[in-house]
Amino acid sequence: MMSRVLFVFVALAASMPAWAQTPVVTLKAADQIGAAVLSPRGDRIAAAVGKDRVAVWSLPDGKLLRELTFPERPIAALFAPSDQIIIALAGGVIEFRSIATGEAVRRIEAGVRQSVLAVSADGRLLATSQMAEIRLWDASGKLLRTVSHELGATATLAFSPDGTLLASAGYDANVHFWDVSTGQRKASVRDQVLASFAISFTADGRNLIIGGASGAIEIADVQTGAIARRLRTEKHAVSSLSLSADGRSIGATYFDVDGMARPAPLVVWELASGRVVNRVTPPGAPPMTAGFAADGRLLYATAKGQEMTVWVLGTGAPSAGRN
Amino acid sequence: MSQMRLSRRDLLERCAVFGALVTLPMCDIESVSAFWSQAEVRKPTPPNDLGPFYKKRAPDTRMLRTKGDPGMPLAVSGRIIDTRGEAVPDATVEIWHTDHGGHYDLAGYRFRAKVPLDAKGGYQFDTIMPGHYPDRVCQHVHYLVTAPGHKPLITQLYFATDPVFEGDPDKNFSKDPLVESRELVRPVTIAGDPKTMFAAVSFELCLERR
Repeated sequence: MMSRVLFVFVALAASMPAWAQTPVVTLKAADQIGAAVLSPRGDRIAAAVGKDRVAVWSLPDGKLLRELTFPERPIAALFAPSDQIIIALAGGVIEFRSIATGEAVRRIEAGVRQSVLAVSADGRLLATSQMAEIRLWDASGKLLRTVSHELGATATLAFSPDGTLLASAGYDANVHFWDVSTGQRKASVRDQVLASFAISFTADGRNLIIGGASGAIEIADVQTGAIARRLRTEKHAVSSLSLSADGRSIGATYFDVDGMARPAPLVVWELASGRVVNRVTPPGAPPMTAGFAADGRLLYATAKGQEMTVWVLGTGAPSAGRN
Repeated sequence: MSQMRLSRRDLLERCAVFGALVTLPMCDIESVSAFWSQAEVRKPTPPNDLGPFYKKRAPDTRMLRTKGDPGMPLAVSGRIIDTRGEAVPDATVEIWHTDHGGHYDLAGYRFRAKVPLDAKGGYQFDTIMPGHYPDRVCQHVHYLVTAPGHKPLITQLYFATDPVFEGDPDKNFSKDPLVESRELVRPVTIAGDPKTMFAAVSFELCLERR
């Protein structure tokens, strides 16, 4: 059985073109690198460093743009849509930090133990979560409303492209769609039996792409919550999903539930057909984040200790250069 | 002498309709004070993380281990009660844990069950001692307990014999940062004869009323 698995792996590796997996740059930090996130255009990457910092590098040159220090450990951080601001959740406070100056341009007291963070595409709405409770904020820091899962903690949150819906995935294996303007639950995905860790609306906002512990990529109808399609299931769990700018491809990173530091794959799917466009297993460490650059190529990062490598995964399309 | 005993619901309803000052003369002070002294006699079981690997639709069973499963056989028993000490026999008790190697079954339902209760809220299940795994310090069994009229309880059972506690769970329970309460670390009794030795643990769960 093992030899068959090895044979399949070798066969896949041998069939990959040379551009399938190319390191862009290796970044070194002063302390242990934790979670990382790519900017929406793929020209920057931010990573948690040590207990209280977020470092931001430019790509592809790997220049350290800023190291932001927080009074408490940042639980979550992401780029504002402009790429110029890091929004971080640390010690119950949402801080908007300018990458250019390092200064806090805005602070929102979100409440203790808030742990999940999402921002809408236009940057006007934010959502945080503490256990099952989800808080919805406007960018000025006004609490708009509070909604809640039935059980357990919220795993991840995402706004629809037009900002009218918030999707929440809970560790209770349910996904809900919330009307942002009223706080009403519009629909729920209840057909799943395992929790989802990553969600992404399709470009038209009609469907939600869902991945999690089952290893499956599922596409749910936003209006009804029904699972409309299932893509092929991997043996690992999905850790992140990234939609291409044209909405046609989805990149999924995976992790091994029996050891998060073990190697795991990254798979690019063509959404319309469900075809696997590319599949790689980075050497040594699992992919920790992925994102499509403006030219359509998929960037992803792996980290070990104080070192993070950013890779580019070709799609076969000619490169149009970076914005 | 017969004595009118009010249930908590009766008392609350009368208070709601007439107001507490009107209600009090309708029954003697002794019965009211006795009622309140009995009302909340138990502390709810401390909650603990649901974790990322809960799986819906687990099978109804109390026998989770099968012949040949590696690991120390484990028998867990207890009762589901509420904060008044009353049995909650209509509760649903879901449990899940890793195998001996520290692996959660995500594809199937090994070591996952909906455990039946008896008329007194008692439960018991036979399984194996869960393993350790790299991203979690302690051996543990997850519980999700739901019951009509009660708040859901999500918690975990830990074992005083876990090597992580180095024989002193009072001092070392927080070596796993997710073990937020010493109360969840339960004593383990070794029972049976040398050929059928098993670990036995008692874990009573107390639910809060809504």
